[in-house]
Amino acid sequence: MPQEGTPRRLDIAIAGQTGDGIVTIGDILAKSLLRRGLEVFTFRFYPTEVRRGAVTYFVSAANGKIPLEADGLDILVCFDQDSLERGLPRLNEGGVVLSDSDRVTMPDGSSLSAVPVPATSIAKEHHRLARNSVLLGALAKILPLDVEAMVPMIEDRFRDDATLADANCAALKEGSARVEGPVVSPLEASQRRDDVLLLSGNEALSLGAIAAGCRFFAGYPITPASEILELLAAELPAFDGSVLQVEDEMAALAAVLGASFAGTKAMTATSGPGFSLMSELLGLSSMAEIPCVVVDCQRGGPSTGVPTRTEQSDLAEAVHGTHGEGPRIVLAPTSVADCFATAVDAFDLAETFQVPVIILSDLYLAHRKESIVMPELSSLAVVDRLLADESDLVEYARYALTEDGVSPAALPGGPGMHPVMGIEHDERGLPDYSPATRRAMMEKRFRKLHALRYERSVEVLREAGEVGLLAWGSTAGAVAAAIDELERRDEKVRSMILRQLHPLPEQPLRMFSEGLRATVIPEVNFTGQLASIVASHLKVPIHSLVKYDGTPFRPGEIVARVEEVAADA
Amino acid sequence: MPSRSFKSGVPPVWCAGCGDYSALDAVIRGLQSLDRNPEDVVMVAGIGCASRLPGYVKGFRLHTVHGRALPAATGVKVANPDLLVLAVTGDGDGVAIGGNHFLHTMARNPDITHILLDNSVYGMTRGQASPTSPQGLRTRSTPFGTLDRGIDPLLMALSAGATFAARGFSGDIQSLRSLTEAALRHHGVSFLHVLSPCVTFRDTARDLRASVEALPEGHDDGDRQQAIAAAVAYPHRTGLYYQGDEPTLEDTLADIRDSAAARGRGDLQTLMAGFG
Repeated sequence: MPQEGTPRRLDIAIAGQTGDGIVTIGDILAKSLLRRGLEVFTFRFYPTEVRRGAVTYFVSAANGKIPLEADGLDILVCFDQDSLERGLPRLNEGGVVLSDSDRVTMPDGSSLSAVPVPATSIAKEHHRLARNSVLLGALAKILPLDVEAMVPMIEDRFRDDATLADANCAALKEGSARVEGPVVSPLEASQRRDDVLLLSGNEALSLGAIAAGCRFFAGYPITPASEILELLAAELPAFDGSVLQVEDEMAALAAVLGASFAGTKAMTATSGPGFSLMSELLGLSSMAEIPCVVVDCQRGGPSTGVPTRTEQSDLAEAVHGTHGEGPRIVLAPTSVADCFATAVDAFDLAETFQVPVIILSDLYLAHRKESIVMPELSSLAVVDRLLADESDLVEYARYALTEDGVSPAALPGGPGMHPVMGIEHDERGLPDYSPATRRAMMEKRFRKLHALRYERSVEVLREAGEVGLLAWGSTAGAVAAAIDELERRDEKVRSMILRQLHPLPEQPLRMFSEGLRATVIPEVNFTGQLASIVASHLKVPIHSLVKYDGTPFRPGEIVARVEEVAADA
Repeated sequence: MPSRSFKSGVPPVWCAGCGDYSALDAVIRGLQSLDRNPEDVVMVAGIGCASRLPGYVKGFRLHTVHGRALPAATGVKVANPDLLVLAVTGDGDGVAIGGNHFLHTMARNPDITHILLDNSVYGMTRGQASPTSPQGLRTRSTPFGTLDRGIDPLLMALSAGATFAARGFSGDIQSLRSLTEAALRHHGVSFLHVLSPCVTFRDTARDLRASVEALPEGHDDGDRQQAIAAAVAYPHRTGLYYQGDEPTLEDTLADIRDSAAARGRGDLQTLMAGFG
């Protein structure tokens, strides 16, 4: 039972097949809830094929800040029988099923609250593809949501086809007229803010990159990262930037390194398969000390894997993936708002330390939308790489052996001509692999990161507790919800989210494990990659909690494991 | 007044008699003929003997990994279109591992000059076959003869849409010099295929000197179809096969930026508010 003062939430799922137009109405629903002043969270579950397969669009809304994931559903919108069967197991007690009664038969003797709408028949009178708008109208009535306010959103969606726009608006209104509402008690926002946005992780990353001063992007389409290429292709030119869709991921990172060498902040974004292709060039970035930002939106692997399911299984590759050894930084955002902030931090760190910075996002984060407060732009501190001054330019050495390891750069088109190469080199950049030079240069490159003091390297959620909970990336959401539930059960658990995965922030990890009896590490992969990485840093028993079916953690799964461990520890 | 001599002063590591010396001479003279400073020049290379060339030329140099010189060069040029950008590869770097990038760079038309030094063998790794080796060639990796047919990079460049495609020969230095200068001056992607024999692992210098001729008099270098026909008909002729004037990648990107700016310069606050 929710406690007094706990924000109320509503969890809705719209389920059908690809081609039903579920994403269109899901987006409109989410926007409408946002504009009502509610916190909104969405996630889409869909197949790889473009035109066939089951799709579910989850939309959650709340009248206050709450952890996003929930275990159940309050409203299930079904486009077909299969959707009903898929969604029913998750429906809460007293949940509502809104269905296209032309295609869905409710089970006999069911005590569900059913709202049948003959959407197929109604759509036929307007446009056979407008079935989704009929159901949207009906859904709006039962929530309730202002149907009139949805009309401009439909018109915008179908701005290139007036016939479709009109048909869908008419279908929307008729769907609304055909049902009695409201059916659930209205979710009212405590206050309306006009500085809230509804963004996906990919959108937030892209906008953060623009904010950080990224002005060159090269990429190759791949699920679930393509949206970054697409958004930047459309928007970066207005910021005086350039975007190239290139022939493969190696061309992408090579072009990024070329642009960065010439002095422009540059980024690429990909998923697992493309990230593997970039291994060699990541080494070049480290070796030649050319800053770059590489986004990996992880998905099910290995190989082609499961392109439309989420996973957190590229951590090991992000940390080690290239032959040989060179400095790099790996960051993992935990939410959509964090995607924006992490993008800015990534560029700042890349420029400061002249290293590749890898941002590990994942499909769950990339494609889900969250309502966030408009990030504060005026206070953003953006860092540019250290450039050579007059004294540096006298007998300029690109790889000067400085005390902190960072050498002032000189950009083409100005003084300080020098060679840059992936082969071992001396301070001037000329090939030299004598033992003394090799030692000095290896040490110099790694020494750079000794000065790394990233203030957002970890996020401490709770300090008190003898059992610990350590996680990274998008799993942070389920962890936050799990902690809330555990506290409701009077159980304290010390929790921390790792945002800097490499180099490992040793001091926070030491403090975290001080006095712990055991720690649970939930992650969406098979081999427990974070658990392996931190094992030698946490001198306490680690209980790796892995999940590898392509779905993100539910808070309940984490709660259960923590309670088990607490009981045994 | 900054010196415009483009000699870096570093002695090349190439074997005596390597065809690449001629290419180096042509590149240095070509750069010297332009009204540019070494500071504005960026030479990008991959891996292999040919890719050592930038080390012997004054300017900024970016040695990337095997096969990736062309996209890196494209990134440099797009980031700063005022730079003079050259990419130097061998036939392995340019046609094998770099083949995909080669094709797409020719189709993309960035204003860079790609000089491909072709000895039809992998010299740096001591003599294996290359994609431009003739079929049946016995090498240390193909003891029974190469299985693939030889690929003609000039034909590839022409069919992909290169706006400048020419072939020179290290044994004909005069022609090579003028072709190199023309390649550097061309506004658009310039592909210069240079037959440059490896004296150590596949010394075809004498055979080439006997067989290489210039394109026939009256070859129309403004006709791509004719150029392609000539490339097929005369696989080892030298000269300017094709030159055409088309908007470059940078020109088009600049137009895109200009029209975006005309619709309103980018304002992040406004862009983000659109998600509300």
